[in-house]
Amino acid sequence: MHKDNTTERKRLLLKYLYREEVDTEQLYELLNDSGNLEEFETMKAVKKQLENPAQRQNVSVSEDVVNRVLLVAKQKSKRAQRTPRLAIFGSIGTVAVCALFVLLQTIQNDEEPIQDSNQTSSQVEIQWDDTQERIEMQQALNIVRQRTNPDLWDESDVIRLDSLYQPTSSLPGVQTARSTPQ
Amino acid sequence: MRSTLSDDQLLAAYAEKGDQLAFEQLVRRHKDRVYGFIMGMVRDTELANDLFQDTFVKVIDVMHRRRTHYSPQGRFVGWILMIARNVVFDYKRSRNKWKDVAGDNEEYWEQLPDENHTPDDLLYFKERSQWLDDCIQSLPPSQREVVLLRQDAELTFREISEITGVSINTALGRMRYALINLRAMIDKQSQSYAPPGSDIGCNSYSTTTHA
Repeated sequence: MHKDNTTERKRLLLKYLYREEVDTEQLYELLNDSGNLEEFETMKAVKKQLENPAQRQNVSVSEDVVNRVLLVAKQKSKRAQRTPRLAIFGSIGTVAVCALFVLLQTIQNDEEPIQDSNQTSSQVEIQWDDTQERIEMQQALNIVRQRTNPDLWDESDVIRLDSLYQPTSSLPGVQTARSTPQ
Repeated sequence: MRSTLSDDQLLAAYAEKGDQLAFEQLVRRHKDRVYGFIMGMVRDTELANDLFQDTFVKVIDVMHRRRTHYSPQGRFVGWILMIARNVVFDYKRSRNKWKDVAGDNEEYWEQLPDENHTPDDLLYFKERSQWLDDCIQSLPPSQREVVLLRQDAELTFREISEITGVSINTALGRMRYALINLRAMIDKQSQSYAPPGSDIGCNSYSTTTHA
């Protein structure tokens, strides 16, 4: 436990070495210990060597690679700039289509009577108002029904069949049929 | 004029106005840090060039989708180095070299074996004047990464902890062991200029890995 705590505190030395913010009180306490001070000096010496360019490989990216990256950036920017323009065009286009639709609707409303006259005969029949005619027909039908309904007939309406039969002459050899035997 | 602008101002100029010179200024300002980190992690010039390009292409992509993906919190260099780190890791994963990497599990790093070099490699390292880089590259990857990010890329330990996804104490611990290991390597290197192929030098040093 004590060792872990010491190790953790020793890490403060590193932060101090790399000029990061440290608790100065803890730092002075650490550096008062000769062991800690020795470790700090060791790390400082290594850091100094790491910072010596003569002892380090001079690594640098190829200029061709940098240029390729810049080319990609340029292409992406062009594409990105093109996209908003298309978006603007798209919104303008949408507005234009809406305006055209409204305009067409208006024209259609204005032209409705003309369009009615141009409609097909079947459409005319459908739209023809025949209510009055239907009423008249229904009335006529009712009269016919009334007159032809047997239940409504009275005695005067009955026509006797035998009254309709009136033989005017007798043919030779032909006897008049009788319903009752003589 | 642009050289006096901050990173965020340059970013805004490029992202909002398409100012190519602003972006170029950004790239030139940070290219050495980014490339140095990538090179330190992959140790291959051609590959480092490719990964450098991939990093900046990702940066460009994200900047063009900045409203949803990039908010200028912290320093730009920290953000770009985080992307570079991801690009390096993606490459490593794609090569199945680090296929067992589970996020930022710090124990994983400690389990990584040091790479063995052939006698020819050792000869090559000893003949080079930049031998200190070889010492850095002999460090375990987790320690090497912190050295590259703190010493070369000049990120703070707080930024390093954010980028690598570990606590600040872990980042500090790794750096401390890295410096102790480097000190031991430097001492050994300076004491002996043994014949090539002998068991002396940064690459034969057994490093301390307990952070």
